[in-house]
Amino acid sequence: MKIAQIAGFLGAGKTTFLIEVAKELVNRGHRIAIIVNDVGDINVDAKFIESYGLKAKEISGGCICCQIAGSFASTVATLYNSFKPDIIIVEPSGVAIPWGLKRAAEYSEEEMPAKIEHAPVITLVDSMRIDELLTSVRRLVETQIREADVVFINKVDASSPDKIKRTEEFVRQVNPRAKVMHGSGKLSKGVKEIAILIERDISPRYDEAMEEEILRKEYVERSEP
Amino acid sequence: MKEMDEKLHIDMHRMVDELGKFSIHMTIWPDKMMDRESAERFLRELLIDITKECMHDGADLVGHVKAFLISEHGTSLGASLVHLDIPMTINNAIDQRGLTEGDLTIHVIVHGIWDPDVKHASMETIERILPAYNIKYKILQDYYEKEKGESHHK
Repeated sequence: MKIAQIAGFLGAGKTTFLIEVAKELVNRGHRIAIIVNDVGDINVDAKFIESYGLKAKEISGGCICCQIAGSFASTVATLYNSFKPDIIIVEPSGVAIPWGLKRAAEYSEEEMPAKIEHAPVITLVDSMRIDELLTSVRRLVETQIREADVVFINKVDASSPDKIKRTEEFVRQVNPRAKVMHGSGKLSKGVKEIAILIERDISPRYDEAMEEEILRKEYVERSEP
Repeated sequence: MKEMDEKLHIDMHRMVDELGKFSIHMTIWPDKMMDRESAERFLRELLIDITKECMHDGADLVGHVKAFLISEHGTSLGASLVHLDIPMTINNAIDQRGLTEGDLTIHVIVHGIWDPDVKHASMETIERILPAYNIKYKILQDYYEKEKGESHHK
């Protein structure tokens, strides 16, 4: 069973994008379930997604990449045991760290007879608000971009060419190895291409040693005087 | 999870999670049948004013301010705001039956002020806007948890 995470800061357009990607994957013959997580104790997104006829489970009360990783793993296993999806799309909270979510997903293997595969980690970046994001929450946006296999520069239909260019330059500087795509979840632009990537490609499993080294470099050495 | 791993993880969250959060779930009763357009107007005004109030109180970035309203007929109205200068995303499926009772969830996350300020800004706006639309309401759950909200930022 594949886990496809669609990361990105709050307001990046994750829910709209996820609905379009899920619809595309359903049309391509897949059995899709969706897990949404929000940092607050109540979730608006699951209700919204279900209003499109999609199967969604919400997990609230903390961030699934750490605080409630166990609940997330159990939810993945329960979905597998009851619904047998071949792909679970996960919308993590806007502050989740992608590698933490990979690790949490792999915990579910203890509760079900299936192996987890990861689809490419897709991080959405809101090109319309790039300047504000880099001023206020740069560190988080950097982390989400750095850990992505694919960075989807979203809302290009409503953003200016200058902002899109700045966003792309920033993304390439932070993560030169990521595949960079442009599109709009609202207009379904780029949705089919992302659905094909989720269907076809695999992202490596969580590697504790590798992640620890990256984290040490990024968060310990950088903060030392 | 190893000790080192856990410490780094917590440090990362502390560094990035400077967000104030508040969410509330309530039942609302307009004094007369609220049609599709009025419901949308009400929700737009509510979210914009909550956001303005948060920014006035010191927030410098909207994470998201969103709401989902379900009528007694099962029809729904979703609204999401990420910036005061960017048009709100609205998905309005309220039909000609309108609503006389609704299940309303509001979720506010902003950067720059902590949970108590977000709660204050949100509640002040709710207490002003709903009566202005002649809407009675009952709070089912207020998901603000003081201890959790504050300890996270220590």
